[in-house]
Amino acid sequence: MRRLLHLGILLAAGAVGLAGGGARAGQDLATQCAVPDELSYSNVAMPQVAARLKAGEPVPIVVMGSGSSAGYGLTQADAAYPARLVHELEARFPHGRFTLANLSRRGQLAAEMERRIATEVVAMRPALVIWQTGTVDAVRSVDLGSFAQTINDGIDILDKHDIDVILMDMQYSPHTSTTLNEEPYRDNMRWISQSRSVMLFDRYGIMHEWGETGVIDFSDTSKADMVRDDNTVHACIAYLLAEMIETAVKATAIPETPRQ
Amino acid sequence: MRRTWSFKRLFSVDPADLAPSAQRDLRLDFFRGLALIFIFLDHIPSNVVNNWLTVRNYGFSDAAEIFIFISGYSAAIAYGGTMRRAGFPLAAAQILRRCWQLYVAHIFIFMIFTAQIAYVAARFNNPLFAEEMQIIELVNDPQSTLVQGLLLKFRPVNLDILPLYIVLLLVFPVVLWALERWPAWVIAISAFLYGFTQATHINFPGYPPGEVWFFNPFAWQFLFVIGALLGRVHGSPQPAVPPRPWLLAVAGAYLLFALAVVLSWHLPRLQGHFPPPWLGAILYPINKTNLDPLRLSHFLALAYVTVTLVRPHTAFLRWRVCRPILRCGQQSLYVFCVGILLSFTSHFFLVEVDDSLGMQVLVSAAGVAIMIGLAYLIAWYRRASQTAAAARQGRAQMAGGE
Repeated sequence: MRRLLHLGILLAAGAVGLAGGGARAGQDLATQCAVPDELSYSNVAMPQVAARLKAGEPVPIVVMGSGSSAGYGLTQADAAYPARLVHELEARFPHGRFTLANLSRRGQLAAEMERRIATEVVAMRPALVIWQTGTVDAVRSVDLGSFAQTINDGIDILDKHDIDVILMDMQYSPHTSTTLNEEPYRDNMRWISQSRSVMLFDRYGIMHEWGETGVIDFSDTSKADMVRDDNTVHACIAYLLAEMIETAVKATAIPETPRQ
Repeated sequence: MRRTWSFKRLFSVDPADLAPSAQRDLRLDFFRGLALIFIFLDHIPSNVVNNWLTVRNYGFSDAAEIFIFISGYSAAIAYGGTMRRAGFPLAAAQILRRCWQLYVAHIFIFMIFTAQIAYVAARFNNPLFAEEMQIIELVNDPQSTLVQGLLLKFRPVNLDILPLYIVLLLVFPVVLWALERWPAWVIAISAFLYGFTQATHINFPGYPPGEVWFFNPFAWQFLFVIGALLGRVHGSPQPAVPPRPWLLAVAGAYLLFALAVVLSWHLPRLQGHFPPPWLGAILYPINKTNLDPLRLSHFLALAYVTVTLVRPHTAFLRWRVCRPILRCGQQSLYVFCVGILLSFTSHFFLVEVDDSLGMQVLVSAAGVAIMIGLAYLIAWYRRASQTAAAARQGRAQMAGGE
């Protein structure tokens, strides 16, 4: 029933959204990027980030992803969401000191990322790793069993070293969705996130939602429109990520005993 | 005397002894028609329509299982009689002719699909999707399109089910012949191959090298053969697997369990609670390519509950509202091909023109309407052709008799 009500609201919002037509400079990100609860809800705690914030220590964040996280194709690399995320977090936690290491590379497979997590990332001792994967593996049709195993192994390593994880799945790319078989990879990531209590940022679902409500228009072909859409996507991803992290941190109970 | 059930009956009954039922069993047409509609809807990337309407959202299996099972079942009915009456050569020839029709249909759809992709590649170059667009370079390569496509090695996403059907039918003459004589052996070998595939993940080679088929014929053949085995005794007064309360309870419980798990995928609030990690480790990943046992058993449970609850000559199947679905099931090859084509065009339309919720519903409804319309058209054409041929024959006989 709630879903039907939501449907009604969405149809109305869709009409308004289409009339409004995409991003306008200065438009409030909260209204623009809004998605239904189910897409941005998570009940997973963020103990490492919360603990470091509480102790006043720096909060290093590592982003391990593929082209979309590296800003591949964008005019400026720091127009991608990782750099924006830091600004968003600083706005929410004014006393926090966030640092970012973006280890994303275009064309990076999950297996390669897991290897780098085990070596480079662990050595950095971050509080949080945002692991964006699935796209390249879908393009290359990587075996699903080994993909799932790779993600599980990576999460094992991050767990063992007390690092918070956010999994991020692929973009919703409607022009390639009849060619690219990303659904099984997305399913696998969702299953792992649900059964292992790992936060999943459902970028696919969120972007699909934006397409439906008119926040972005996938049929745009003019350069200016595309640039605007791309900026909206990355700005809103950073915004929503920051919201989810903030919610998780505030919900995490920190034990009073100091960390060894 | 109460007849005790044993599975041996499935293997020992001689189909030649079965008297054909006076009324056509409409359930087959109905569920096949439903499966075709679900396949169409499932291929539209829409949150609303295919999140609430189609089977896959309520359990592990989806329209693909329904389609392959019913195909095996129907193939046994369609060609089993010919094989018994006219022998192996004619039945084999009929089956291979069907393969050829399916192959031609697949190539046609493949060409349309390639044209659409070429158009998209030329028109859209949003840097946001630069990484994803690499898949299009692959499709645009003539080597992929022409050579590997003809060889069924390169199959774009969503075009995988026809090649599977073609391969299964190619070996079906032998399978059917063996089913007539040694049905227990056939199912045992099929089950062994299925089990072997689960363990080793052998599959048919795809393109580019290293890729495999999305529907693994070594695994999916098991479902097809089960369908054929049951189709063999179609028309018997006793159902192939009779209703047993305990079996129904087990099947029902499993279906409810599957429903709960699938719902947990859409309700993030259940994260971490259900399914619990130990259960998640057992269940996932649920492999569609190799027909995961969870999917297979879910489908069989669903089929069992359905045919037990929906009797062969249930009145509601004859209601007018069901007739469009029956027609779709009766003209299944054409409806299926049109359904796949429509799913491309619908998707294309949604992306290029308008992706709003209202448009998704409209496009889905229009697609289903076109599929139903086509089914009626073909049914009319066949009837009209038969009537014309009968009239011609009648006139010829009269002329010859004078």
